[in-house]
Amino acid sequence: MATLYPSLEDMKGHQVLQAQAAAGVRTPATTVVTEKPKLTSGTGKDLRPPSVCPSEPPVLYPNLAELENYMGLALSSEEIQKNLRTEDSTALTPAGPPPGQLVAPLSGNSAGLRRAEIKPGVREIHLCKDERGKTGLHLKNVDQGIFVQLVKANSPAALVGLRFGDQVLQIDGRNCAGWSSDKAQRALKKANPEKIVMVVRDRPFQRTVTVHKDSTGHIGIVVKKGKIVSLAKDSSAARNGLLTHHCICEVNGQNVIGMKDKQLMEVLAGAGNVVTLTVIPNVIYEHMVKRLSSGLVKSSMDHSIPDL
Amino acid sequence: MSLYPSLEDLKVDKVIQAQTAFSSNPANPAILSEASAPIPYDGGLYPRLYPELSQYMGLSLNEEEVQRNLVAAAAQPQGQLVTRPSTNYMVAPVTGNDIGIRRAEIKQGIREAILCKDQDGRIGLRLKSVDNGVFVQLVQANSPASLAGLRFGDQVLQINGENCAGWSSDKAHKVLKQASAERISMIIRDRPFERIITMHKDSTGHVGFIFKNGKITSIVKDSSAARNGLLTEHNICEINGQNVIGLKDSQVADILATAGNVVTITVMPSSIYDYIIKRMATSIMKSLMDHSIPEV
Repeated sequence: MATLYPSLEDMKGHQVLQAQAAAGVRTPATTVVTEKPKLTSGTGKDLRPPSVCPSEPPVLYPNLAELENYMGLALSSEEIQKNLRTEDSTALTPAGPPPGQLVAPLSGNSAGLRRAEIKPGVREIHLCKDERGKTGLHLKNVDQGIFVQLVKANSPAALVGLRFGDQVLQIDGRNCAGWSSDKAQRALKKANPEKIVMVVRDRPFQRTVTVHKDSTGHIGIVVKKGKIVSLAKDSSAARNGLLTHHCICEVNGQNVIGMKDKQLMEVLAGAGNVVTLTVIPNVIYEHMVKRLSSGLVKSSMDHSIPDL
Repeated sequence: MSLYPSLEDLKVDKVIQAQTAFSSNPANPAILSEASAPIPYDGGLYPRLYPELSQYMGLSLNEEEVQRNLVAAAAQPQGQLVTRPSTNYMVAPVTGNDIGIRRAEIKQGIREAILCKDQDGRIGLRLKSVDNGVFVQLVQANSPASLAGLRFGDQVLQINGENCAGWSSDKAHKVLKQASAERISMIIRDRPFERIITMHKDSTGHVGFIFKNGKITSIVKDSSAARNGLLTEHNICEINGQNVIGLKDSQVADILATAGNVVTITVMPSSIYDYIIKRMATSIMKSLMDHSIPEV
């Protein structure tokens, strides 16, 4: 089973580091030779070829100054070392990490990655109503399943960690399969205000893509009305396979549905160098917000940053 | 907060937790009322839990099996580090360490696959452009692509170091044709449009959904499929990790029947599925597609 990486830049960075570490025991001349073809084939751009260091000591983390302009990223030895050290198992032995391990030399420390992570499984949550008897939750029937359509800001639903797109499997022990949206809302209304037990599947229709900003701070997407309209060639978004006709639901785990494009760009700008986007195909998104008034989406949707 | 691969695991775990809490503190009846809430058929006390579980939700459970699965789950390291993005961090008293889940599991990340061409110069792979990305449309049986573990729906990010973003299907095939026969390096994102749902058969051996031409058309009320939130308008791509696209409905039913008590199916929304297989002749899908059981 191959090694997994959250983004392409992690894979390339890790491969280069592994090559350097493996070559560290050989003569320095060989190091340079094996490094060059990897770098140029990785981007197809003209890079400064790594400078030949004939008397390089066999250090495990060689100077990554040559990598600084790699793929337009600003890499530095210290940053990568920091990210690698926090992952105990990515010790740079020539054997590499055990198979199936998620290796992230560049994205490793990103809180956004962990906040946005979609966990494939079923979990139980307890919800209570606020003093007006509301949960702040709107549900919708999609394909005979019940999904979260809206989570109002500062509501009990937001507190408990529900997000747009979560599938609700059970409410108070009753299966929601086949319920209409009205039936689901009624069940919520009639439920005990002290405690509502819900079984939730984490955002089944969405997926996360981790991208990195280049030296100009761009990830390479053009967003219009919250939807990805085009990708910039040779950008991190293109490399990591972000697709057009997708709607951005979250940036680093923070819900951005309903935000104006300008606000969305601000969130992206403030997001740090590693950005984890949660996307959903347009057709499914349109289906889910059908008949949800756009006023509600813009004014009351919860846009807070979730806790880890 | 614990995660479970299926609803049955969640319920059984709650019941077991309630029972252990009750046995450690027999004077506390409040715990039992919570345990009885999700189990409508029996509101009484649970002096000996496991024998009652044997008829729970139509599953056939027995004490030893559940104990075995729980011990195995607890023994696995559940540290903060995501050691393997798989079922290791989930609690699964009923599903246990099922091999079907491990085969079907969609790995959240990017991996590299190395392929070489066979003696005819072919890879056995057909690609399709979707939303400015390139996806695997067909993996031929006994081909280099199937050996490399590629599956229907995988997204190809790079071929030999070149980004595939924005390529048409023709361009992608041309690049593959011109590539060296010795070694083709592809960077793959694992089946982005698909997801897995784990279900359990009831005592009659049914999971609880009806399908036609590989597409789920309806869900049976109060079945494992309904409980676990399986949706209609989805196409079945795999059963326990084995590709079933293009197989006849009767063949798929056979695979379901022989699948064992835990069934993990991989589904994809129909609109996306139809788009990916557009203009691919159905005969090719039926005759050439790789239907082997992947290794874990």
